[in-house]
Amino acid sequence: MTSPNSSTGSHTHPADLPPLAVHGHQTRAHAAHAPAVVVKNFNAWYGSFQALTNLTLDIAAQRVTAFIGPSGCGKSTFLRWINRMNDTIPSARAEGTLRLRGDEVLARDMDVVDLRRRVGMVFQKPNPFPKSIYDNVAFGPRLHRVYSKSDLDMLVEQSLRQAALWNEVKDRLRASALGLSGGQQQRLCIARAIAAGPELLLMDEPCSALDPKSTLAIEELIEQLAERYTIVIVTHNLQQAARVSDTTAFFYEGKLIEWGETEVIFTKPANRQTEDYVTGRFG
Amino acid sequence: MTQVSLTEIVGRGTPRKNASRVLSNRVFLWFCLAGISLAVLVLCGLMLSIFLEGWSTLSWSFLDSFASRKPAESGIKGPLWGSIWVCALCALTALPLGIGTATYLEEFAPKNRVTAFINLNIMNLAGVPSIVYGIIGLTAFARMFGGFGSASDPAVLLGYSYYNEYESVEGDVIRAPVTEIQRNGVVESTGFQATLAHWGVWIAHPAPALALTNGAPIEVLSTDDDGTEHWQRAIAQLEGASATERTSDANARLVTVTPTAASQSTTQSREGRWWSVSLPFGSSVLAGGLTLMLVILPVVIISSQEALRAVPSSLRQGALALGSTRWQMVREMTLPAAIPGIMTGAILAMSRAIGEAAPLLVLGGFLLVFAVPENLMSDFTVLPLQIYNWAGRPQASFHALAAAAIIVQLVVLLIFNGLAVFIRQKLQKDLQ
Amino acid sequence: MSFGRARSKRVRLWSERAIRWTLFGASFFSVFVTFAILVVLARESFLFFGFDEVSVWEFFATAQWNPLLGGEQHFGIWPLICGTMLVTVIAACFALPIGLTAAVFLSEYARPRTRAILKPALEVLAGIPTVVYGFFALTTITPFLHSIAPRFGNYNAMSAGLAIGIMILPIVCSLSEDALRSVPRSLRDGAYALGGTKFDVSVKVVIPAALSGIVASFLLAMSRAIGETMIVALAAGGIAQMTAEPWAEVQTMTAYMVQIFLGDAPANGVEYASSYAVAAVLFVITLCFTLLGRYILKRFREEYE
Repeated sequence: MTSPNSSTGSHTHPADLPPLAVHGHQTRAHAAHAPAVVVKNFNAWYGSFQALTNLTLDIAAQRVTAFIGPSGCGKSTFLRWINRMNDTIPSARAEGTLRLRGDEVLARDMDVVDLRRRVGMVFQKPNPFPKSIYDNVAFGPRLHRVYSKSDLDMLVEQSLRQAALWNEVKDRLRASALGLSGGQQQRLCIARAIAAGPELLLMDEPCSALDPKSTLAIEELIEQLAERYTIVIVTHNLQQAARVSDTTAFFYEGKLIEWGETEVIFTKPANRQTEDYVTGRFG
Repeated sequence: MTQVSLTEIVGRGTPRKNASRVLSNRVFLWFCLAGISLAVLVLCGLMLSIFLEGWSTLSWSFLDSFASRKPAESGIKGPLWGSIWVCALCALTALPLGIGTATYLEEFAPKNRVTAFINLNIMNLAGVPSIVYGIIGLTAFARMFGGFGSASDPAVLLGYSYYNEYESVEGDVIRAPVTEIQRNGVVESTGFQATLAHWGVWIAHPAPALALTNGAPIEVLSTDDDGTEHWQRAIAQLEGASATERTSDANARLVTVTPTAASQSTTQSREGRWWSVSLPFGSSVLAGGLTLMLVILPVVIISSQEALRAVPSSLRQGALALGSTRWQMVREMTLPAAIPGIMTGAILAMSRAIGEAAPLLVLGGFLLVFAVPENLMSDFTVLPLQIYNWAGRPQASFHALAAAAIIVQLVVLLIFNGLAVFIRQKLQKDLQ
Repeated sequence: MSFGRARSKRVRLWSERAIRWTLFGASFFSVFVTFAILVVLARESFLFFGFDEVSVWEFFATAQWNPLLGGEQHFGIWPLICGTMLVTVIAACFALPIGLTAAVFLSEYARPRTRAILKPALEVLAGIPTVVYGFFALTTITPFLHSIAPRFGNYNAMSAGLAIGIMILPIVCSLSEDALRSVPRSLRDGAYALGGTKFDVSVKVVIPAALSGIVASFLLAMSRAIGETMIVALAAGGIAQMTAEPWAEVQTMTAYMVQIFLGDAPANGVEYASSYAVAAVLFVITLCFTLLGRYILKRFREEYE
């Protein structure tokens, strides 16, 4: 079993970087970014239906990449191939190159359990386990490593702090996670995902089931997390993509139409379809 | 806040060995596989052992002969017909009651405490052991709390015909309808055939001699060529009188009676129709059917409720929006849509009723029955009881009989289940 | 201008009312049945305690049950309860682990087609008459046990317990599987996404999440085992004794009732009346199991709805 750092080779783990004082696009844009994920000629199918055709893109490290596009365009499908969650669907299969820090994700000998430890995922609907708040956060770490009580306590606290939930739940860590509000549950799921020490965080429409206030809280959180993690977010909400992401990729009917700096995609897209979509003229 | 980074803390733990995780995963799969295989294996073993033991005994004569002390001549005609009667009665009572209850609770009842109580109550009834229902059936149906006398001397008789019996010179048994019913010397009811409800202890009044010769519809007990007995119409003439002219009825038998015999009835008897009922019910097919009704009623209600609940509420709202009353909505929309589910549940409930032995064992004990039930008050036994009886004997030959009867029982069960699946699929398709 | 004749409003109103009350009457019948059970059991038990031979104290606080055989009569219910529990525990030890693992297999591992065959098959098996299991116990399990250890006689608690275990196996499996499958898929996804193996996901997330449903299925199955009659009447024997030995012959509450109603005792005697008191105890015990099971199940359902 690989230790969390060995697989990243010479790369510095993103969470090890010192916390940054200034938020926002500019700060992050100046840092050097080797791509965390490299995709070349990627195709995916459900049975005989081709869900994704010939994708080629890079996902930059320590930046937020947004996937946008109409329903059924394949953006969620692609997201679920990055941590091979599609393995649970019997008819799903994929071909092509999909490398996470140089490791071939689709390789037959890829240990999906280790892959998923390295790639955290947050789902559309908050899905806390019917356990205590503490046990939810400690679930991932406990799967992969054996911790002393004090280390685990510290790990849970740190994760909840990073997910901006600590102050709200520190007095009721042993209470059931199901008693939290929707927004709190989603932040708990984020804490749960980062507690396992991932290099990459996938978010599948993380705000679609939340009210506007909780959505704002999550967006702020994403911005903070982007200092430490590589984040890929699938969203229906164009404003959200424009607000939180550095890079945007537009999907349509299983094809990657265009990808690049968010500002460029939203203001001067090269493709007509992209323009129609981001300006709301999409028919 | 501590200044230790998250990754540093994550790295503090000792990694779990991948091999051990793979192993635990593998072992768990084998464990689960072993569970399901053992379950399937045991049940296959059960089927096989019964099949092997009973197959050779199974034959047409096994189905068509009554139980006997000799295993080779034994059959299940009695219990088979008993099961049919009891289950038919059970279905006729339990299904309307159960479906009605479910309809009320799902479609009419206000969502209040009474309804919640009735629902809880039904859940609990579903958990009551069937033998307790047997005791209730015994006390409430078979004995009627002792309030109507005993089963051999019932206090209330409905729909019976009463007869006086006489003896002819030839030794035949003759009977004539009772014309009066008396109690304590007072005439209670008159009429050529006193078939109405008769309260109190029945004391037959000896019919006058005239009844036999005066054109009364008398009958004589005749024996057929094949040995079965039946009542045949007869004309009586007094001994020593000159032969009377035969009436137009060529089938009537001529019998001779002495004047004394004609005026003196030997015994009184009563004969029921198929629907005749006496209170208390005793260990009759009626009591058996009603007892089984108690057993399966909660099952019928719960499965019907589930079927009704599965009907989309858009159907209901559509009907109500067109101005139909609740009952019209239920009759036109909800019930037709729920029928497949209700039928399936009903059939599965009936397959439970067919297999129940304990309540009927309590109700009537085990009887060797040598006749097919004829009316609601007939004695009966059912297949599971016959199986119980044969299985409990030490001789292997009886065990083979039990196994054969079990095969018959399982075939019936399989037909019922198949029917349930068929109806579910067929009706669902029709609705679409 | 209008076509057709308007339906009488009054007729419609009254027929609606009549139907409503008829259906209410039907649903009230079930309450009446419960009432009848309570009245019959209470009244007859009361009569039983009215006999000189027995007292409430003796019934609940002594452990000798000897109502029929010659000599002094004793009515202490504990040997019957003990017999019932012994048989039930054997059945539970057999059926609960196997039923649960089989349920996990069906819900987490089995392919849809395998499931589509096994699940209805289980439901058919749940409908097999219990007398069939009794026959199986007597003619197959008992000889098998005897061949392993000769101390297992013609009648023993083990054989009856195993047969009851086989009987409740489909119930446990089917109900537990329902509970496991009602755990939302999103929870499984969440656990897989954290790097859980199938074992981790099943044992650490799905089973705990379905626990109350599983416990409820256990309780309902146990209540069926306690009330089971034909198997124990055939295979467990007829000696009421306080024992925990699986090879011993035991009498359960239900088996005692069968013995009485099969005609071993004169009607209206104290032995006859005793069966009602035993039935009342049986009723209360199974009612507790059912109520507890329903309560847990209800709480479980609320968690996910």
